[in-house]
Amino acid sequence: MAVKHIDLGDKYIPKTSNKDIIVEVEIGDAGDEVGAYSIFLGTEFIEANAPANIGKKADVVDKKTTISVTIPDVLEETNWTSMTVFVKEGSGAPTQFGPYRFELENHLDTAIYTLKLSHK
Amino acid sequence: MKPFLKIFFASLIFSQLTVAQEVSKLTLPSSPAFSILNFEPSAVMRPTNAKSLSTDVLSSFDKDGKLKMDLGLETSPYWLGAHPNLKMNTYLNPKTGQTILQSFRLSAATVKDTISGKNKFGLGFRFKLYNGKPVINENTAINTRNLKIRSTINSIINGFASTVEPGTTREEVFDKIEEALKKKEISQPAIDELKKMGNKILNDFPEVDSNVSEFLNRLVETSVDQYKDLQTEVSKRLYDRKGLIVEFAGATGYNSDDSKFERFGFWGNASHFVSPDDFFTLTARYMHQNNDTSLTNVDIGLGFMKKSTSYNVSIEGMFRWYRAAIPDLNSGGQPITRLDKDFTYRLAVQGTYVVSKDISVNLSVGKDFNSPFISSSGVFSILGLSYNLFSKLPPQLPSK
Repeated sequence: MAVKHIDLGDKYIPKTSNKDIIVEVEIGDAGDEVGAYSIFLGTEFIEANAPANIGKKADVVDKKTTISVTIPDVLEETNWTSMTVFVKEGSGAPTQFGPYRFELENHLDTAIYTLKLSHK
Repeated sequence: MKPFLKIFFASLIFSQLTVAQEVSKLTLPSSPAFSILNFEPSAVMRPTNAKSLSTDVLSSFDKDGKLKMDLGLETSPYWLGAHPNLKMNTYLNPKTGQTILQSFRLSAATVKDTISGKNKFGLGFRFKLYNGKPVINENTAINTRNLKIRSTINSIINGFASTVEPGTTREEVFDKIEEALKKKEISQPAIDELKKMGNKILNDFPEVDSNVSEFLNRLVETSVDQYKDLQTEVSKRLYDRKGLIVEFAGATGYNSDDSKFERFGFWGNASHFVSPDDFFTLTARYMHQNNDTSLTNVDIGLGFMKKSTSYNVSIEGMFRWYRAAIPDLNSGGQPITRLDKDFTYRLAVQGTYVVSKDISVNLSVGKDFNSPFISSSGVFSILGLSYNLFSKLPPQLPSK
């Protein structure tokens, strides 16, 4: 029942200055009903297990968005875990980060993904 | 003499212990390639990703490029990679195509025949066409929800561990965690439990304001460890199915020295699970082997099994039509092929009773198939005792 941390980094430059930036996470490999995620802007907790409105460009540009995803493995057939992050502004097409994949060493291990998105 | 001892000695006297008696004839082989060769390799490779599959395949050949003997390989192609779009609902309630993908397994084996010295190669597959429906009762739903709550708590703690600024005290960060948990409507008892867990590991972090991230990471690890039973239970219950399960398997055995396919077999099984522990099962199989003697048989069988924590009982009947072509000599000493076609059947009742944590008693009574090669009544009764010397787990009831 080991815990494996997967630390990731990427960049999302806001495309508009007047539209809300929404961050959403999809957990794959059948981990969606047992796994969970939370989203932070800077040191502030914004939302968990639901799309997070992190504000407009001016609110985020000097901060990092942190997406923390915990996925306990429950399937016997596989130890693969995966998650994908979507960032959306207004009605535009979302920008996708991932899917990030990681195969845990043992059944019932837990994967913890931490994705830090910078905005400039 | 006590009735139990009478049965025991009677069984010893009258039983016809046949090694070939399998626990049940109504199941599909878990590894058809091994089954078709009648061989369990000492080394079985089970790659779980494409990289390890290629490594395993490459390591199956010696330096001269020849396939090594006494090897086995089992793999599920679908599960060799991640599936970021696979949701739990799709996994638990797959349509036919997805059911085949999720359940498709390949097996392969190589063996050097100890009698003939010939190299043999087996290849098999197994898949489900229908996989019933998941058993979702109140407990399953509660456990799944609780595991999700644990994951939410852990993701929030990990988020704070990753964003905490230098100089922040543990109390400050814990207040923020509590605030975030309350925002997500995590219950007060769960928050209190987390605090208790935090207090327990505080001794490992004596400096009050340092190592806040490390402290939080340790808290996540402790929390994951504390709920391992819950995670195990959720995982186990995923495999409780009821309704109709239809499964197929096939395998062939190739003799590489004689360059011929010696054996092939197909299995089909339809089981109706009244509950995860009670089911009816119907099996059909076609087996053909073509050595010096050619033997073909078609089997159709029906069975019922009931399991509980302390016992299991199974009743099965199987009908067999076989045709054997056996090389022989006629009265003039000339070689001929003797054809033997017949119908035979097998009936068996099996039971296991768990006496205590470490001991179980197994009894099988019935009549086995008649064989074109061996003349016997086929009646058998086997009484066995299983004793777990070292295992912490109670003795396992034989599957199906």
